[in-house]
Amino acid sequence: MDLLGTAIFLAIKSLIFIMGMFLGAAYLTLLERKFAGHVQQRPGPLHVGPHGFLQPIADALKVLTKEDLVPDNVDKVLFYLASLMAFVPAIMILAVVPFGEPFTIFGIEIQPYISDLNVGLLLALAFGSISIYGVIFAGWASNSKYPMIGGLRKAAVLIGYEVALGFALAGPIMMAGSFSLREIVEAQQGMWFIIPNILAFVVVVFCVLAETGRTPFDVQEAEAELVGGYVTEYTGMKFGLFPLAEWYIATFVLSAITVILFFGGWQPLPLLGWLPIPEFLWFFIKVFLLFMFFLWVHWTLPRYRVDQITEMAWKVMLPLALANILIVAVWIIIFG
Amino acid sequence: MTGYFALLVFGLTALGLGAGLLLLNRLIAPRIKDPMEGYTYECGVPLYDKTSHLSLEQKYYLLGLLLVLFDLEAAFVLPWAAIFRDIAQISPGFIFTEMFIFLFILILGYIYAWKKGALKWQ
Repeated sequence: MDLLGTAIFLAIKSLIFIMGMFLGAAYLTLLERKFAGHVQQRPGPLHVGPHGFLQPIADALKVLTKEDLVPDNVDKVLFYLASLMAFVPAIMILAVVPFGEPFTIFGIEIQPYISDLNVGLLLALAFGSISIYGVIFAGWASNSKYPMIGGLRKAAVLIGYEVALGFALAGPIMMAGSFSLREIVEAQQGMWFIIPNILAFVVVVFCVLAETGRTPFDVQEAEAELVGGYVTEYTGMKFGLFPLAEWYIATFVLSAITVILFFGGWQPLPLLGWLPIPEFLWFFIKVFLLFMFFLWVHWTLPRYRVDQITEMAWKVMLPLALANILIVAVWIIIFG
Repeated sequence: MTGYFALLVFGLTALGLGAGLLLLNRLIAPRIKDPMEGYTYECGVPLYDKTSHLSLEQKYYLLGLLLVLFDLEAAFVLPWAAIFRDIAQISPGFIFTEMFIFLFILILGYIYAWKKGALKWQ
């Protein structure tokens, strides 16, 4: 009975987190479309609601009421599984992101995270890699040329960034001496980890852009060459889960992970600690700024070719990540 | 254990919600049969190849092999990184040289692969 009670409590808490993420992601779509509009000197969505404010709800209803087409020669199980495979691991990263220290309100202790495991960072890395399978499965299951090329390209990008990401994460782990994301934030009381880890930060930005398929590295979709890339055969909600998972949920939670690793998580900005801003708000401000940075990159830069991405990952990013390990090791030995 | 249990519950909730959305889409969306709707997208012409699984080749086979190798190396580096600060206070020379001998051998292999052209798109 005790176990059942815990399970129900956890399920309700998970639902709150997931629903919050859904609502957040819905309005991130509006934010992105407005931002893209203004980058390209057009107003963006305007007509649904005041100044386009209800556009995400209209989009959600539209995606839910589109016909659920399954072409004849697709692999049906894998075809459905692919959208779940992209969505579930992407949102699972949210479960290991801590949004602050546990605090007490009205006598109840509230933990603003699902689980604080001592392998949190490794789990985030693992879920991030698994969510790529969704794209590759989608490309294979569609049994059509454009999705197939998109899936193969995504596999090539994965092969590129994965190694550099693994080595880049070693730097912050060495500084904190722990894989737990909460302990990594607590270790940044005095100084953010960006200071000796600047090379690792460059590598991680590259990897987040590649993993979420945002523009300089969006070869899996490449709408100018591949029709719709890996989602060419998808319609309705099966389609809707892909951009939701990749562009919004994954970008948001990976921004959160990057903020935790390099920008001190919920620690206030330097010299601004006296401001009466609660710590989770500091966290959201930083995540928002980083998210806007990714949007800015997305809507500014042209696309790389896929062989350029893999070669850049192996020949530039991997040496940078290894150099970062050396720099951090020397830094710790000198400064303690 | 509660941490992993919470993770499991969260995963099941997310899975249920995703599957629920797909099911909802299937239930409420209209279904109007069309003779062409089962066709694979191919710029509006009938299919030339019935399947796409055989007609494409990928060109990064060697990079895929290297990925397995280097990801394993990362799995050795990460535990070392986690204890680096503790051991460095006792004997910095030991922990430093130990891992950098390992990384040196790794980098030798990396340079060899680079010189042999394995990092190129073939």
